[in-house]
Amino acid sequence: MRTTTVLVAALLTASCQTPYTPLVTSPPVVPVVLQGSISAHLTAMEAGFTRAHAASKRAVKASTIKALKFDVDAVLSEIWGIPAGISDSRGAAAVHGWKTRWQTSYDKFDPAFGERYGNRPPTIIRVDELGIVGRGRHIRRVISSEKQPNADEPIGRFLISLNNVIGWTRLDDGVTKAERQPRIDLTYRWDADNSFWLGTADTGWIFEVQAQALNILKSDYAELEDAQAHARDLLFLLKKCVSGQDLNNDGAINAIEAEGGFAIALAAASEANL
Amino acid sequence: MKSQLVLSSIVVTSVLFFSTYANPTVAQTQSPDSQPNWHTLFDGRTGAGSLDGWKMIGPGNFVVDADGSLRSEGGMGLFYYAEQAYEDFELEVEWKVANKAANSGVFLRFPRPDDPWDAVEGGYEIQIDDTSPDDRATGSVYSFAAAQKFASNPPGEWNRFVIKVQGQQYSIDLNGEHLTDFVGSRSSKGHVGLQNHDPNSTTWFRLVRIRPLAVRADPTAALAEQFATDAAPIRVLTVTKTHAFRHTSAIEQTKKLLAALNETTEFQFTITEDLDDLTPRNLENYDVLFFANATLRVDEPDVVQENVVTFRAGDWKNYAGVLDLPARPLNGKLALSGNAENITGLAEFSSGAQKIQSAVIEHGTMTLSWGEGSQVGNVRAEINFSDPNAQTLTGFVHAAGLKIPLTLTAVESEAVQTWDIDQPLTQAHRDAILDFMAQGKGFAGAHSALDALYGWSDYREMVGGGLFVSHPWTQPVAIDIEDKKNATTAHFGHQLEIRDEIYVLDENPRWTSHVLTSLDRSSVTSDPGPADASRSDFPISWLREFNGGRVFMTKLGHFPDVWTNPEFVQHLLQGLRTAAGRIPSNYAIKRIKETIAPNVWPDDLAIDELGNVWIVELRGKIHHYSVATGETAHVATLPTTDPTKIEHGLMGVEIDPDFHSGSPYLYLYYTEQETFINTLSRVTVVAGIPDLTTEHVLLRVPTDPMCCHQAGDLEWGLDGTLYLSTGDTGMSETRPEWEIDQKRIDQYEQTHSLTDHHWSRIVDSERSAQNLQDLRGKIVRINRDGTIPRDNPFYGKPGVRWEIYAYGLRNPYRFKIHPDTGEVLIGVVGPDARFDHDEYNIASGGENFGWPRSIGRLFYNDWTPEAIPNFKPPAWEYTYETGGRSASMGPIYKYDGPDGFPEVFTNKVFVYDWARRWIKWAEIVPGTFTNARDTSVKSSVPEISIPTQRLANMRDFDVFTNTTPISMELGPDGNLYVAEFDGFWDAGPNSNVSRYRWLRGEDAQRHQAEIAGVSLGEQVYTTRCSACHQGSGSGVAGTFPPLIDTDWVNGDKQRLISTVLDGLTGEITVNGETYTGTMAPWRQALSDEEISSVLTFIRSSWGNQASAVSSAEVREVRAQ
Repeated sequence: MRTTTVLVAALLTASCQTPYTPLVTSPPVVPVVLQGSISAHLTAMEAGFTRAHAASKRAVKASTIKALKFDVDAVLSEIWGIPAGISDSRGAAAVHGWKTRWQTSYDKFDPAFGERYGNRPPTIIRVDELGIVGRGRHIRRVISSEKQPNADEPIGRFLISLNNVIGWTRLDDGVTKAERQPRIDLTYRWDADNSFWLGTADTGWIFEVQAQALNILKSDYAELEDAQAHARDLLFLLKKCVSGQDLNNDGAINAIEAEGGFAIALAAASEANL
Repeated sequence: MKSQLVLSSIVVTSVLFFSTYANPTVAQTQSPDSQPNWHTLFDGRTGAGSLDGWKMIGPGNFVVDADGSLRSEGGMGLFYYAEQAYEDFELEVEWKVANKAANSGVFLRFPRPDDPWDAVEGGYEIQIDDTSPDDRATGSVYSFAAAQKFASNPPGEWNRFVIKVQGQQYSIDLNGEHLTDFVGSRSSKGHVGLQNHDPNSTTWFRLVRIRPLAVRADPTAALAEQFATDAAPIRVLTVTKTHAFRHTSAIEQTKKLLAALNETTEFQFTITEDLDDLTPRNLENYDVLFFANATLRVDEPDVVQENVVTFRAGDWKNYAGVLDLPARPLNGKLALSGNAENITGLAEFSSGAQKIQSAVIEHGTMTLSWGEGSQVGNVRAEINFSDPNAQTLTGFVHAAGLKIPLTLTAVESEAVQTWDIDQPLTQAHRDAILDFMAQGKGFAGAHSALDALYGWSDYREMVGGGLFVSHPWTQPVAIDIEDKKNATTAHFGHQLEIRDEIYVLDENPRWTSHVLTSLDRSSVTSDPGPADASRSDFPISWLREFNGGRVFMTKLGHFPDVWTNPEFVQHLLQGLRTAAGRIPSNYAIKRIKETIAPNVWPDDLAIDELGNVWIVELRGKIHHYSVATGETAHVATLPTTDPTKIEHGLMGVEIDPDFHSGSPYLYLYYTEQETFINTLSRVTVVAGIPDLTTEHVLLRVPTDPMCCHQAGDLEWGLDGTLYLSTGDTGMSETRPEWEIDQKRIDQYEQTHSLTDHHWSRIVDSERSAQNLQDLRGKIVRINRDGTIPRDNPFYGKPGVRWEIYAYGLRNPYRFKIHPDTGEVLIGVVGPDARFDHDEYNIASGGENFGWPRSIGRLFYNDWTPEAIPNFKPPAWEYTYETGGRSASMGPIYKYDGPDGFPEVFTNKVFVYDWARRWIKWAEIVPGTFTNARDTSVKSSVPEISIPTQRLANMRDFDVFTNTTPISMELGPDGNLYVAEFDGFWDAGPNSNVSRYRWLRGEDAQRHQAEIAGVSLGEQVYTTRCSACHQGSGSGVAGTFPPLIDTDWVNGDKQRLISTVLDGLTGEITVNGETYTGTMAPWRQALSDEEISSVLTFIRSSWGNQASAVSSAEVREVRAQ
């Protein structure tokens, strides 16, 4: 396995031009309207991180609380593809999840399920309208597998590092009360060591960024300095998503669970000709 | 093993085994004792002892060995010191046994015996038996009091008993260890002796010496002097007659006490054992009727109580029985009543008849048990019952380790009263007592007055509703003083410690009585028996009103020395004075439950500062109950998702604390239409109507498309912040056995082997409840405007949602805020798997309650408390093993105004369970959490013990029958409001919002009169309805339909009311039958009250159990 320690800035400008090749080890149960190749989505995610990084840096240096929140909202927009919507209660803070983010059709699901939730089409049905999380999950779905990623293979290293960012989840059609219902599932890692559940990579570092952004947006600050301190934490969390962390203190950030970030994922994707 | 059956009062007419002491082989000489006051009865250590004065009776022998010790041979016999009987003394006995299973004993204070059994039945035996447990073990008072520890030396080594007897106090030490304390009730003077039990139980004794102690003076005279008064006389007729167990010693002590009190106090006690004194004419001479341990029985019952032996003539099968005991046959009686599915009865092989406590017929064998808690101890009989009509039945009785052959012969006898129940309480006696009470006089009862008159319903009601079931505790107990200001209890202080026998009753008198004292459960160790509503709360003494008279009851008084306890005597005398009306007291007190909103399907409640109640339904309906008018109105419907088969919908409601002070806001937690997004919003109430267009979203909690675990309760913090509970939102796909089809199960199990992991690992709640970037499975806390309070526990921590207040929760369906500390008290519904738990938690900010790594006492998959960040153990937990459950947290009772709940409820917390239909109340105390180490958790968790807050003294408040408690609020009026849910995905007919409150004094008496509403209904039915529907409600075939077990009566109230108001013509079908008669309209003839009363009567008669109909409901239908 190639050990990669990279500078964020360098990797954020890396190119992933390899044409999309489906790597479906087991066909997705639920057909998804695919919009473009994995490489295109990775490129878009990379750009999203770049913009989020810039916005969070601006937030740290903002001169007013309002300006700071504007920049923080921009970070959230990159994560989900739409603003937080704190003011109108209709943004990402409210509606992150499957329906308005990437679900494509009810046709493949149980009629009772579709009936219960109405027949209005989802707000977003094109993957290329999604933010970092949606595109990442789309890629995970395309490369869907029940098996755990093998770090000895480039594709495995890519998935491990991507999972650390967006969560070790897989999309599942789900079956509840005899109804097929789409849902996110963490439990394919059900037999992991207890240590797996104690970190934040299991559910994805990007959600720490989201949580921090929402916290800032929902706080009634009296002092700009307080908000700036919280924005610095946001920047730190965002950097962790990109560069990963040296959890085992071996001096390197590897494409292993809870270490590799998006930068490692990009490098591995290149290796895997994604 | 002890091979004897303790039969306390058998008159042994023949002595089958008799022998005398064989001459010793080693000559003994008397020597002066080296210590003062000690008298050596036998000294085998120095060889100085003599066997002068000793006498052997019964089989076997005692011989003196070469070393001077005394060795038993054969048995079962008794070697006793015949020269002198002793009162109070200290006795030392050195002994050793040949083998661990050897059985022997030291007998105390028995009368001069003709038979070894006389010592068994007349004295007490300090047991020697290292293989038997509890009250049969070495150092126990055989069959009466267990030894607290094992202190015997190995066989072949000498042991030393030090036995101290003073009054009825027995104290036993062995080898320097204190083993047993016991308070007896048998003779205060008698002989001491040694037992040779059987040939395999060789036992040596080498020292027996005794030191007489000064006999304590009889305290009766001093007591009488202590309570001397010169007030106007109170005339008390005291009944001490017994038909069942007789507390002989206690009754004798009672008589002595009352006689002495006659000399010094205003009381004029007349003691009788003649029930013919219970005549109207004689009772005119008394102010109070006092049943002192009077275990009376009636001649004919007026009620048939389940599990209580009744004396119904004609349905008994009586047998004469013979027990083939080793010593001699023992005659007895057995009476059975009922049928094979439900047998009750009596067994009498000792001094009193014992109720059959269980009876089962399987495979031709009838197994009966009786005697639990009695001096005889538990007895089990196995009888060949293959031919129930056989004249002779045979079997065995298992008792005291013996298997005794039993022969039963059917005898002609129609009723139990032919059994030694002389002079039962007749109808004339009963009428006289009722008349006595109706004249405003008093009744008092002590101890086994609650083990009396089972077949007389008025007596049951008079004494508080409950009668004896068992007495699991005969020991020193602590008794809490609930009303410290009452004249009967003011002298007690905080607690009374006393040794007595504590009854468990079949109904709790708390709800109809003014409870004065109650048992401190922490002072007793054994379980009271199967859990039910009457066995978690044990009032000890209480006052009540009955039929115009006053009642004082106490469970105390089993032991004679209780009747010499000054604190008890004062309690009793003040109780008698209260019953006589000399001391004013709030004796009339009664809990009532009333429906305030009958036509709602409530999910949650909120009460504003004026007492108006806001009620929400899962499907979006919002109702408002006006405290001013008593009416409930449907005021709005919030669009929400269709909750069919899921738990989404309108889940929670709160009202702004300043609703009537400028903040007219309603807070709602609901699922947005066509989404799985749970939203907390604020709407403005305009002119009493929630204006849904004013919705202001405060928080959104996106969830997954899963069914359950939504939680959704809302509560205000003491500082005005708003708390919300969220569930882990049901990662229920991981319980494939009931969620999905078999094919999917097979697939799932192929990839998820649970060989090494507990199923909780495949619960996806790590992604919600343990995920601090997610709001599910949490208690969250926000400001009223939706912003985040800066003092939230995670505020400022990078990457964590700062709204989170506590986490690691599965389905915290209902929670409350502690009114003093601001702590969050949380009820958590746990997994519905067989070994798992629900739990109650207490959060003060930042706690992780463990789910899905732990729940209740279980730690799954090798998780430990140390490995779970911020872990706090639960305050209480209980398992699914005994059925469904849904732990929900109610309020802590806190109310300063008038007419609230009794003082005992102050600071107690209410908890309730939707699935089990109960409401309980408990205390929060410092305690210790300990884990369970059940193998089902797939872990090797060590024993865990963590000091923490715990719920204690959990007691039942109520148990519902056809509804379930789903939400609960304490109103500003100090009353408890409960949302009662019926149905599951659709509303059931019994749903309502109810209110508990207490009535006192005249209010309680007035309520008794209000109960006559049923009588009004019966009256209306008799005059207006019975001609057609018949007095039995059975109707007339083809013409007038029956009113029993039909949806026409028990179902939709509106249709029922309309039918009565406007009549009915044409054919109708009821229970599959067609009826053609005409129902007359009663709109003009009957008032709303008359219609509601008659419908309430019909819906609760002839086996119908539907809810009451209110006048308001009739009025509403009439207006349509």
